[in-house]
Amino acid sequence: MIHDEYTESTPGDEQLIAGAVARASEKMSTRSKREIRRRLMAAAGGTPFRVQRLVFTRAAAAFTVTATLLGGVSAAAAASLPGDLLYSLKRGAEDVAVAMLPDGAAEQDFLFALAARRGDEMNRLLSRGASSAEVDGAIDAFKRAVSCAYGTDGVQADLGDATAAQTRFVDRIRTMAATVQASYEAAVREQQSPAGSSGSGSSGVPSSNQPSATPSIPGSGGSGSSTGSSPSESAQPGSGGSSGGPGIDSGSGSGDSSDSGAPQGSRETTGGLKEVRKP
Amino acid sequence: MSDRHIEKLIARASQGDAAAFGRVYDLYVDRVFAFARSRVRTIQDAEDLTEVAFTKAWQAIGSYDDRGLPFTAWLFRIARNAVIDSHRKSERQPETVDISAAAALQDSLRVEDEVIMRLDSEHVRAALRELTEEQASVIIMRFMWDMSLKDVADALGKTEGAVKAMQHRAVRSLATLLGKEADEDDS
Repeated sequence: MIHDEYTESTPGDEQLIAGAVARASEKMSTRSKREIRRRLMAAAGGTPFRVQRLVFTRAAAAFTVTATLLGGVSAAAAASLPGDLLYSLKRGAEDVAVAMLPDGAAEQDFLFALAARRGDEMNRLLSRGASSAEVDGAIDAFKRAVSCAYGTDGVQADLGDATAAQTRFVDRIRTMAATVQASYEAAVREQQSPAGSSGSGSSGVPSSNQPSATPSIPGSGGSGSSTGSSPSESAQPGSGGSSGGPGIDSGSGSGDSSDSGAPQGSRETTGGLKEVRKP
Repeated sequence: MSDRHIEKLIARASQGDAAAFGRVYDLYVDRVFAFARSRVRTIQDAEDLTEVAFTKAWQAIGSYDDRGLPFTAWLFRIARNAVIDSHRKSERQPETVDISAAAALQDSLRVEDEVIMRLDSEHVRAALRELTEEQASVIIMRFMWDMSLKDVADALGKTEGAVKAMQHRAVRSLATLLGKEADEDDS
């Protein structure tokens, strides 16, 4: 055994040793690798694994939570909207379900379903004439849910391996974004016209402090990043040229940073209506 | 494969996904085997140690937390412990060089080249075995596993400065040992 006396090595020594060690680095034969792998996998699959049991337990609990949500008193919670008494119960149950679902397609499907649910809530809030703060919150929640669904498993722009359920949800989310866009544009046109100058919000759209931006959808238009095209462009090709409508913005807020106090991508105008920057 | 992809595989494996662990095994088996091979004399022993290390890794990966040790450092610790346990249990065996694979080659010139290469490699491995356990670990992690000083420090539970000094000593010792062997071969 070599004594551990301190002697300084030179970079040349290190290079030589690194080369020698690398050359001495032997690889296992392919056959042995395969054999060991086979035995490892057999042991992993055949032996009850602590975490696997935990995942199973979580999946079972998630099923229970989902089932609870679908029946009895929880039906009211499931139908609730932001601001409703039972809404926090609904969101809490969703969080528990997400935490308990095992990674993989089931979780991904559920996240897309949640994004679609947030979109439904957004539209229902708009149609019942909710306050701008509520709609703002719903839009933020929708954006977060969409980002979360896309970001979970590297789906991103490549939806080649998405399940059929995910693809359906993606289409639904895009339609929702387009619907919201159209609703806002209609409301803005109404308020900008002389007849609609009262700003009463009779169309069911908040008359003041309009939400600054509707969600961007990663994957639509190719990137989902702040530089990507908006979902409105892909979901509603004809809407891009209208002025004054609520832009579906990626949330970067660039260009309007001088408007302190106003939400990103928007600017207060007279009559309490925001002039929202188009993407 | 990107780091992010590897991180995901590790995360899935830690959730009990055996298939993901299989992919992790594919990615790291050569490194673990190379380390084991540098610490024991026969290929069979190194293969056995590799299997033991991955079995232990599978049993422990459920509690692996990527906010603690980097995965390579974590895996190296397991492999190192497997080697240390093995050394504790077994007696020293006569030194052998496995050249059976080389003998199976058809071309005699290639057989000779292969035997020379294997003997050279065995010289290096024999020299590595002469180092202290920690020195050898530093050399393997730095030059075979290509780990950073910080990750090596994490794996050994030492400071980066201590690892750097240890690396200097190990390189110097290894150079001396290999020089001695070269001199013996020439004489």
